[in-house]
Amino acid sequence: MAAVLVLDDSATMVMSLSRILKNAGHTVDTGADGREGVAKLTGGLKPAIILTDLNMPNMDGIAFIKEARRNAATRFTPIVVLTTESSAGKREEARAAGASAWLIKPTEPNALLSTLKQLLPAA
Amino acid sequence: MSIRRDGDGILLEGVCPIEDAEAMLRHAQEGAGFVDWSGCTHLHAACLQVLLSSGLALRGTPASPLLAQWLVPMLPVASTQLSEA
Amino acid sequence: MNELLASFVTEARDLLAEAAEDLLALERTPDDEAAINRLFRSVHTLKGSSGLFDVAPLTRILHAAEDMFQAVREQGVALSAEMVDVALRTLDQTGLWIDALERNQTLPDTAAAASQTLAATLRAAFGSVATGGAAATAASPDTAPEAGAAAELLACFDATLRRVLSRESGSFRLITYEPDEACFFKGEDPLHLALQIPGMAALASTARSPWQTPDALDPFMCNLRFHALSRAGHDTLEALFRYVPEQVTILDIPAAALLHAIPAGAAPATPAANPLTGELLSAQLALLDAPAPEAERAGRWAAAADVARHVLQADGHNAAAASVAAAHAEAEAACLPGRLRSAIADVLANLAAVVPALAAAPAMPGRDAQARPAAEPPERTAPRTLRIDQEKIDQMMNLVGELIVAKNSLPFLARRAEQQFGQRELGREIQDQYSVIDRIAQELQGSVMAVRMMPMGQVFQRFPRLVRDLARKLGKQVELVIEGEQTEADKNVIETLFDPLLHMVRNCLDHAVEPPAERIALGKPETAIVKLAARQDSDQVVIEIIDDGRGLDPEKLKRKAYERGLIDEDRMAAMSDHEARMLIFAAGFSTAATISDVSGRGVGMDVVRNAVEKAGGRVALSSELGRGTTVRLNLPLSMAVTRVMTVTLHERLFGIPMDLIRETVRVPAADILRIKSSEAFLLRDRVVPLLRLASLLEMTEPEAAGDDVAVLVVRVGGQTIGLGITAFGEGMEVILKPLAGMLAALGGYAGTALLGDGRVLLVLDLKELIAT
Repeated sequence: MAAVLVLDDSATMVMSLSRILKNAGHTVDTGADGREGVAKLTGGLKPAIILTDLNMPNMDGIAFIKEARRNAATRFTPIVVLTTESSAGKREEARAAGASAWLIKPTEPNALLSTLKQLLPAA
Repeated sequence: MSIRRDGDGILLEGVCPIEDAEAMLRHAQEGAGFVDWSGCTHLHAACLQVLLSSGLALRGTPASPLLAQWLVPMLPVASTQLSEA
Repeated sequence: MNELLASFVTEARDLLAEAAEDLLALERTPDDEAAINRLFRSVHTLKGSSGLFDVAPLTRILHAAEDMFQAVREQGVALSAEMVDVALRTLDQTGLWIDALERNQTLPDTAAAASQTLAATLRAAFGSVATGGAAATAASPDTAPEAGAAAELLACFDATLRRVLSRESGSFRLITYEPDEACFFKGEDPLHLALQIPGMAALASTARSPWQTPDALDPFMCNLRFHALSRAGHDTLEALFRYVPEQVTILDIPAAALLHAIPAGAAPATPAANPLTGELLSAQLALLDAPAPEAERAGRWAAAADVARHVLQADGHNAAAASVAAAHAEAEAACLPGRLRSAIADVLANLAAVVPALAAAPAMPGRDAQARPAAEPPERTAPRTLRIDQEKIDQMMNLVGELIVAKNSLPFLARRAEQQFGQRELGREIQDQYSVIDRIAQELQGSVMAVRMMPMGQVFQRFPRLVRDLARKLGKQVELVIEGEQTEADKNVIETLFDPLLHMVRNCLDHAVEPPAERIALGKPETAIVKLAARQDSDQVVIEIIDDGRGLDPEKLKRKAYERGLIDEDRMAAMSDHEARMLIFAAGFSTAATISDVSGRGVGMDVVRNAVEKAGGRVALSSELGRGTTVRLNLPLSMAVTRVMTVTLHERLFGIPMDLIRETVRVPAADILRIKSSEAFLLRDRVVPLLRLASLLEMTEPEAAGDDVAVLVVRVGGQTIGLGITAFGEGMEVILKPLAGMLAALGGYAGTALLGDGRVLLVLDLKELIAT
């Protein structure tokens, strides 16, 4: 079980991911954009892993990753970006910014959980 | 805490995250003689780097079969250097 | 409907509305970067969420639309009116399918075909060239065996690997994994990844550059390189390393070639792991697990450790033997057999990986149970707004209504306590308590009503699109100005408003707004301005539809009404200009010379007036020929509470909406005028028709032969009418519930309300009653 932070501007996507994660025994914190994500982190949240959408209002995924890598508590935290097949080009940008992995939306529960397991020794 | 100083040794317990690498390095600089990793279930690669580079002696077999199987042969056989009673 | 789909439906509608808005903004201002970004994001998000459900046709058109907007955003493709048309059609289609999903949880059968056509149209519209071909090209590892490089890599493996390899045929994969120096700052743990290599036969690590002394070592810069041998296939391995393909090479090496490549080393060729070793080790575990008298424990541990150590040494497992010895020492020191037991179990597990026969050996002790991470913090979410199902609010409103009704029974109770049981004190106390509950109930009602308030924007936001489409269709140029979209009103009011507004805006564009050429000839700006404005005025919301078009021509209207037989010659002559303009609200009136498919026939302004009046509102109009027209609607802010007057009719109670009632009079029977079959009476020298409510309701009871008749003077449909009843009741506020079930089909009733004493009050819809 791990603490997961999920950021996506789609409430449906957040609900879907949260459900998968909670069913697998993880605890979930959510935010609708990068700004909310940063607020959670500066507020003391220390997730074991972060899932973030790329295309979000206010602060997009790339900017969020850069912020998270600047934050001492999350500089080494695995961050998974949620992409769509059309935003494949963004993956490289996300990796360069510090993303650990990516998942294609809509995310199969198995794909999500196996990526989590792959990144987290404790998951 | 997954890492702590215990007398002459460094005790690893459970999952040792990357942050433990820094602590392990500090303990090594401060004269720790060995690392007891028998309670360790996972070790971040950064911690492995410290073990590989510092030459710290290892005690016990890690609790995780994966670590025991693959890391014991990888690290210098330190167990034989065991000298204290 | 499942919760996830429900969330998707709501979200989709919001996103579609936003997308349509941005699309129109973009058409007006093509270089509006924020709009194209928002638009792209809306469609992108919607497409992403749609993938959660079995709605491939929906996803396909959204994908095509997304590609179009991406082309606009990133490749500078100009957004043409045709592109906007087809994009809007896509949003419409999506909206329809969302409706279908909400109703049936599935798309209609026709969706697949429709989707294909629409996606093709979309792609044609922006001249898409290559689509879908941009799949990520994974770095394909070099699969050609390079004996030289392989030999070098294999040099790092322990010589004991020979033993493993000598038993195997087939081929291995030699994996070299060189993580990025900065990989720790990307959340990676290369060791964790390496340990997950499936079918692993060997794992070794080397330093990329010589190790620094502890003083100079940067632990956070990755200096590791991993080498592994695996029995797993390429696909499986590539899947594991999918996020770091550029850091991994995978080579195919036959087992035989490996044997030659691995240095013989100084170690003597030890015999292959003996299955007996495993058996003996298992036996030691059993010994340790068996209960033993205190005095014998230390001896048993020592015996088990000795056997294990000797067996391992005999088999060439020196390191393992040493660790067992160490564990024994610790176990003795700590007086706990756990260390020793786990040491032996670990060795056994190690051997099991090498000697398949040992795989069935006893499982590991539950050691890791003691090292669970601390409890995770509870989930924290702090949504600022709540999305609430309208039904829930309606349910709350109903409950508040019931509370108000229940509360209203307290004064009855107080009166009974006082009068029937002679308990004045108790009666007064009940009355006091009533006042408190009354105040709270009213505040509660106010709060719930406030929740039901919705901004007028909910209705207005649909108009930019409508106006754009209509104007394009009619070949007119119209700029829609919206004001006061934040003005709030009860959701029922808002919902009632859409259709009337739609009629009026259609009429306005169809009839009032001139074609551009005509406007230029008149010296007017080419683009007409139509304004939708809302504002609050005490307890009413005022909505105005203002245009700068032709204005209403009273003479033309009068002639038309005359031709249609709506008025006679005398009336035509006597009519004031204002009265003539109001003719557009008369039933069956249409001024358009040709019937267009925009306004159509029969859906005149009378429909608008009916709808507004049914919602308790009024319609007013002002117009100046050649300058434009303003239609003003006044609607109550809330329709939840209705003031009614109760009336008695043959001992039955009915409610009549208070806003229709002008006054109550008693008319002496002798003063009733009878003209043929109808009745009338004089009210301040005016003849007012008198209708008997009993006959309107088709009640068969005989008319009471009283001295005078109780008459409610009401104003319905612009007409003053006297309504004959048996007796007046009292005025009260009620929560009107619409008729349900079979009663709903019954005309003439606005709804029901529960009274304080438990009776149900039927509230009449006079307009409908009198019209029929």
